[in-house]
Amino acid sequence: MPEPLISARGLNRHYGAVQALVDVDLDVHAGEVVSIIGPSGSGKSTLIRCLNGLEIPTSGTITIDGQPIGLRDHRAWTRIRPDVGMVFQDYTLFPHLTVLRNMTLAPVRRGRASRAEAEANAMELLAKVGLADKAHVHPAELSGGQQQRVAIVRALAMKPKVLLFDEPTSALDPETIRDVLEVMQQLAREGMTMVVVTHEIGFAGEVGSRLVFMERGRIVEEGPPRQLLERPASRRLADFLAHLIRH
Amino acid sequence: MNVILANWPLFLDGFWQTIKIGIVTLIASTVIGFVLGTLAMVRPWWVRALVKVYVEFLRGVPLIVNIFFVFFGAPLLGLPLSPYGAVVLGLSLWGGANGAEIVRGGLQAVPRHQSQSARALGLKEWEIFWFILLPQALRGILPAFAGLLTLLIQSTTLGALVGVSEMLAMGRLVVERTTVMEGSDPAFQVYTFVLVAYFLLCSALTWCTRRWERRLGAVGARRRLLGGGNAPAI
Amino acid sequence: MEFDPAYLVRHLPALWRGLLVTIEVSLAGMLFSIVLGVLGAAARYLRIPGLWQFVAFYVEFIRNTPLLVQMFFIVFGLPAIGLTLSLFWCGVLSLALWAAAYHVESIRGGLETVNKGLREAGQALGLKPWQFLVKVSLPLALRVAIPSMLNTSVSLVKNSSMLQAIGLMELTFVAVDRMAIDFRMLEMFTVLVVVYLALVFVLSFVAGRVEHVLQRPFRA
Repeated sequence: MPEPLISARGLNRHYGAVQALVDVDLDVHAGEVVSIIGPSGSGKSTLIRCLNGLEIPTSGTITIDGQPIGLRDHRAWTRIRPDVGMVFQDYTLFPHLTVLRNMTLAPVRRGRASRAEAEANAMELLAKVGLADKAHVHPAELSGGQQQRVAIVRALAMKPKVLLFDEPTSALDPETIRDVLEVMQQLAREGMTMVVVTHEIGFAGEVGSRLVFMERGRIVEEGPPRQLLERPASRRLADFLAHLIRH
Repeated sequence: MNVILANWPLFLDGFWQTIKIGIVTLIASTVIGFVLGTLAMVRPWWVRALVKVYVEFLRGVPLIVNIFFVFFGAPLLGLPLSPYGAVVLGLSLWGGANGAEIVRGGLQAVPRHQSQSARALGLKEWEIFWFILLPQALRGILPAFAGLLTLLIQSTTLGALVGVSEMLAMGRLVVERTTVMEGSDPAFQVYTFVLVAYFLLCSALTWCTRRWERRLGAVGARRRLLGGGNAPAI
Repeated sequence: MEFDPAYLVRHLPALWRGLLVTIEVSLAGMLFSIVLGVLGAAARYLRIPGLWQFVAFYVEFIRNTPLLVQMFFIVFGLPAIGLTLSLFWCGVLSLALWAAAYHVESIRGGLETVNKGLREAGQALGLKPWQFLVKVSLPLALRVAIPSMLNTSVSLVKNSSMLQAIGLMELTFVAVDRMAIDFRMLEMFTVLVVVYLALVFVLSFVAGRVEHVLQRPFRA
């Protein structure tokens, strides 16, 4: 099996007396769509934020594309971040810039494209998600779902090797969730490597190639989504799924 | 009333001095404020600590003590300062401390996830500051500086105590002259006039600032940034 | 120019007397300003005709004019039309009038947090407006207003140093007076800086504790 794109070993994260991550190991291979599910406080967000350096684990190692990254090496993280894109729960587009400028700012500053190239690329991406006509609009004029779709293509504008999603649909209305999930499905079909923290079990089951269940900072179970969802091996996963179905 | 009209040129001179000092100190305060306010956000803890010491010191000591310090101290350090210079320097240092708080507050008011989002895209720290934080912070910072101008203009009156010929000093001069030469005491009219003059000037400034605030959509930011409660200590 | 502790010790009695004056004038100023502030805020809130407009104008006037000029007006302007007070009471009056304006705004802000729902509940229970004010609005409002009122009081103490300009022998007056004669700047300024920073620190600490206690019913 080829080298994993991201490899995390023995991650621990302490917040004072609370331990958010307990000895977590995770490998992500190219082309995989890894879904992370679990109850609140299970450490899913912490884990995914460790993968692009937004959170620094107390101990453990992280290797990206074969290169180990010093946990506190801010320069190394800044250099690698364009390759590890991230989409947040609250979209966080820059409100004082137009949609187009939101998308071209990072590629141009990181020297990956000239202004003209970046704009052309951005327009293509916007067209893919059906928002080409909103290029010169400010984020405040877009709906939540539209903003999230822009956030996704903004991360894509950097041509990342892997995309991380931190509960991308949690802040959206039920109607718009579908639009965003469709975009994510299309990305998966095109072979994008993705790590998704989500509550959307449907998405995890259909689109994901691997499911990871976390509880209280540990990975309790992981494996093919169909298998885990239909025949959970651990009691805690079974309880979690039963709880979800009832609600 | 005749007293006022008879001495109109003196009052006008004082008025211009007041305006001059106000504008010069505002510019200096803005520069110092932006430099220190930005430094208050950098990573090395000792830089932030130094800025905090400067700000707490200048805001904790009464402004008048500050100005006396500059006025009496400068010659002893070999720096010959005119009263005008001493007041400008003292007010600028104090204004800069307040400016630093305004800038720091404005920058910190930008939601954390903005800088996180920018960081996730791979932007460097200074790029995040320049392209993302500062533009959004300016919306609240600029009106707060306009509010600082009002405070600075009111503080120019302290100059009268070290010999600067601003409006209050002119008022005092007129009262003394008239009392000696004409025997009547116009103190009530004169000081009422000075009060009204400042009232008109500062009210106009405040009104303009409020309108500007509304246009920027930053209502409430000015009061918050000018420091916790709403009473300035001079 | 070195620090001469002996010089400092020699003048300590005078400085101490000055400090006492500072504390006295500040405390008196704070007391009167709070009383005036509450009355002014009540007048505005209850919209007592004639009075509330006066209070509104008064607040704007105080906030848009320099405190030093207000002091000169009270000390030199009022006697010219026959109203003479002792220097000390001139000081107290000017500080109180100044701070009261800010207190009115703080309390008003606090009263506004008492929202419509609470007021309607009070009406439904049959409380008259001023009863509601005293029993419900004011206690809640003060909880919100007290932090900024304490802030204003700290400013008041600092601004008391301006009274040296009208001749009141408070701390700054004594220090600067000495300094003008002997030119020993270092010792005098050290005293001034240390004392004022200490006063501010102590007051801010007390303010913090008071806030903490006031927040207790609101903390889970």
